[in-house]
Amino acid sequence: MLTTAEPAAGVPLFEVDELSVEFRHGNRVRRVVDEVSFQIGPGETLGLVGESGSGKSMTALAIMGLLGRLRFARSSGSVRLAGRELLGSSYRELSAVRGPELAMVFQDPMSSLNPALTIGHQLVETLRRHQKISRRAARERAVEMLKLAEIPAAERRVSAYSHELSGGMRQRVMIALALCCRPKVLIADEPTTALDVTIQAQILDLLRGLQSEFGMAILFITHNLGVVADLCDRVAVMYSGQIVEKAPVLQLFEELAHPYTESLLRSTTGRPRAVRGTAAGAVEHGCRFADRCRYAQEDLCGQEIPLLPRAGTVPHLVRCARTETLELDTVRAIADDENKVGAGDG
Amino acid sequence: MTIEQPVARALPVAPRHFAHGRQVFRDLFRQVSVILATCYLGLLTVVSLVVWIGSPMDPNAQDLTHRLNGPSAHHLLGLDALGRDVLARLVHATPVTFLAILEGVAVAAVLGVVPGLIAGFRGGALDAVMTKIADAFIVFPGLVLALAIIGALGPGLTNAMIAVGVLLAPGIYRVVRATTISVRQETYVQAARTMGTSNAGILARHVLPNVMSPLLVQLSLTASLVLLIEASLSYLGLGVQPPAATFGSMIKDAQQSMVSQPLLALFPGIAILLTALSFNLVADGLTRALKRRGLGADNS
Amino acid sequence: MRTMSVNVVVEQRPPGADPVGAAAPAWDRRRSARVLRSLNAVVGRILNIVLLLFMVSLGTFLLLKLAGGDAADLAGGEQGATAADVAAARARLGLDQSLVQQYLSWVGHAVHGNFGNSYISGLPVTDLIVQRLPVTVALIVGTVVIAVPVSIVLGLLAGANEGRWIDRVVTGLCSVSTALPTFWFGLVLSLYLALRAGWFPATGFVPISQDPVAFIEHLLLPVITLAVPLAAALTRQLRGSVAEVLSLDYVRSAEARGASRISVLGKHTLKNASIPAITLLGIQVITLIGGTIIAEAVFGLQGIGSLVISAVQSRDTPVIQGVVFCSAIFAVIVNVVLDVMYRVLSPRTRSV
Repeated sequence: MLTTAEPAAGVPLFEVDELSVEFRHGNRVRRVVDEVSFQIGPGETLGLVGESGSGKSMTALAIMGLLGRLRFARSSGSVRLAGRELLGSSYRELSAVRGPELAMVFQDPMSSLNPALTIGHQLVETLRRHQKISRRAARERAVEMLKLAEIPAAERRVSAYSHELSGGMRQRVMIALALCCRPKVLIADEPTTALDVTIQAQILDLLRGLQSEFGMAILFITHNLGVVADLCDRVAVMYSGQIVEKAPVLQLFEELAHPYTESLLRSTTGRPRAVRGTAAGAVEHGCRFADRCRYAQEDLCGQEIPLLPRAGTVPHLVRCARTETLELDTVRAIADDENKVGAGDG
Repeated sequence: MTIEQPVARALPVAPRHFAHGRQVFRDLFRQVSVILATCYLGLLTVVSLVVWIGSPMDPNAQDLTHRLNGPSAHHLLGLDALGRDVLARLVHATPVTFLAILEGVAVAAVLGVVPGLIAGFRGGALDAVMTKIADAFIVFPGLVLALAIIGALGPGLTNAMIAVGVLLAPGIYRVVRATTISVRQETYVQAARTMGTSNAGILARHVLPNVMSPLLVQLSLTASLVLLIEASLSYLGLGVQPPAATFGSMIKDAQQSMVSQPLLALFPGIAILLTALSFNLVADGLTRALKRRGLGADNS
Repeated sequence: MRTMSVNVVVEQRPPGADPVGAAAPAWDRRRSARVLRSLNAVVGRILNIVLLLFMVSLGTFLLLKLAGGDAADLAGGEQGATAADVAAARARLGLDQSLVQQYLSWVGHAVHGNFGNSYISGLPVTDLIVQRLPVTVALIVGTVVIAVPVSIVLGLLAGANEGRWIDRVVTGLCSVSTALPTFWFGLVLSLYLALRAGWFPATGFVPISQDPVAFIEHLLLPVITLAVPLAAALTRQLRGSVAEVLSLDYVRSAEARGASRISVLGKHTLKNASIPAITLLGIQVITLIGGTIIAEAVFGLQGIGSLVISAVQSRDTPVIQGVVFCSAIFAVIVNVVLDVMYRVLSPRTRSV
């Protein structure tokens, strides 16, 4: 089994560098993920936020090396786990990493569990794939894992099929499956979207608890800024394949700097003002958000805009041509609201 | 997520099938396999028409001195055991085979489409009874049933084709019924009903156009099956009766002299293979073209 | 996909089966409700089977009676039989009774395994069928044994490589094989592999108890003849559902947990993808009875097929009726087996 050595000093645990994903249809090439970069340390949670079609899930699949099924998709850049390059590894190499190093929880727990196999079967299969243990020991570990995921009557549920469980239970099972080999990095792709609101909070609590126990890094993908405020240390906002703003979570809520982040926040805090249009992502030059942006100025926003640090002590990156001069209308008001409402949105 | 609220459409609008018709047609004939298949079927149709009007060839003229000879300049595909020209016999078997296919498909279509529409549209006990009968047909070995029907009606091409039609009707019934039910439950049909459109109007305007595409696919598949079963029955001597011949009965005749002249059995067999393949390719191509336009035929 | 009354029964929930109460006792209550429901299902299924057999027997009976009124002329003797002879034969065969009486007496005998005597040979139909059964069964079993593994391999290969050249080759082969006229294919095989090359005997049957090697030699060509189109149909179906299942979330999530290629294809994909293929296999195995008729004719085998063909040619009604009814029973057996396989493969149908 491949094991990753403890990261040397200075090498971040998990590092994504200029990751791009392109779809090719004949001669047409579409970049759905455009040079996305971020790092996550042990025990840290990075939120990746954006609307559907912004490339969040594609980023996750590219990191996991699961784009293979989409034959027209190509990824480039670099994904490093404790200094070891994952992108471009063979299926065999990747499958040794997936599970004990890198794991993923998907959005829809119903369709992500094999309907023909019992919960226990899937847990035991995963455990025995990565660890040399007996079937009986794996079975015991499986029950233990289900208990850790706070599933009641775990001894009995281990021989249940996914259709016999409720939605929340299924997502707990998915989490148990993802964490059973104690991965160093967990990617959670909208793990609460398909669930009832009350269940959502329970699942988030569970993730938080398991993170403090296992100390893994989490990449948390969501469209819900409320959830981000609840769970994440840092946030990266994605729009149309690009990261448009990246900052520690408090900094983002207090001094958000990108107009798109502003509109996201509005829609989360229940004061929606419709964002015009949809994320077409076809713009080749200049700000991709420009044609939906209330602050857009033709002369400024038409050119290529890099992701640049803002002035100040806190690391805060923004991709906006007007960032130095722009005073977002409602930043203060919304930030205050957010403080009052607290994390209850999760 | 969608930040903006999608504008709810006031009234559900029926998809415009005929607007798609031309595109589906274009997609269909952009496929090489479909072009080849259509050309081949077209050729057979032309041959059938020529024979029907009056062919220059005589399928029963005998040249006993050269019997079982291979292909030559005079007889392009050689002569059979009775000294008859194989090409002439193949050409004359074409309209008989085509007519047989037409009979079988027609019987299957009539027995399948009308009950399918009624069952799908009316539902209820009638639907339950008819579907039960169709199920009984499908869980039953087809050729045995055909033999039983021929046993009752007596051997002969038309009787055999009635049997084959009866046999294959449940397949068409299922497709038509399933499509009718799914259309009936569409929002735009419900809307049309609330606005007072009559049953006949709904059938003509909404159900039939929707049923057409999966029905065409199914008919093409049925044609291929009819051909294959007809050939089997004629081979068994229960289909076409001599002196008339279809591709299938030609193979039966060729079997006796197969060792000395294998080409005799080869040519009609290839003719059957190509014809059945062509019908299947057209069906596959149509399914593909419909799927691309989002009109996926609910065929499986 | 067909939903068949015999094997897929959607049961209604019995009243009170809803687990409303506390979590722990609900499990037990659900279990007893499940037992009740499966009991319901079994009863429903048996009713379905009886209904099917009734419809088939009545259908063939009416069909043959309405059209084949001259059966007594045949049975009455050769040419020159007087009207009195025919009438005597009619009385002897029970054909002078009313249709209802005739049907009921036929059913009454059939329940005891007695399908009457052949008009032609005078032998009991049951004996004729039992005597010829081994050939037909050997053909069907042999065909399935060859076709199923071949189609699993080809279906997985093509489905996992959708759109690549190997998929195109397999799909093309399938298209040609489904359009193949079975009897012609059999003739070509027997001509080139048996008559010309002499590798196999061209005709005949040897019981397995007598000489297993000769049994296989004699059976191989007819079995291949029948297996090629069957394998083609199954491969097509499997290829489609394998490609579909491979794109599903649970396969992706198995890969995300580091499942090996073999486990992804063999376990996570095949088990779920095989359900529609098994439905098709059920239909095809029933259709195979028809196929054996042709294979028997081509390869000169004395099975049920040659029995029914000669019966049709001579309008030997009891034999036709007996064979049709036995085919229906075979169809029922196949469906019961299918049902069991569904339950093994798809836990959802098990506990619905």
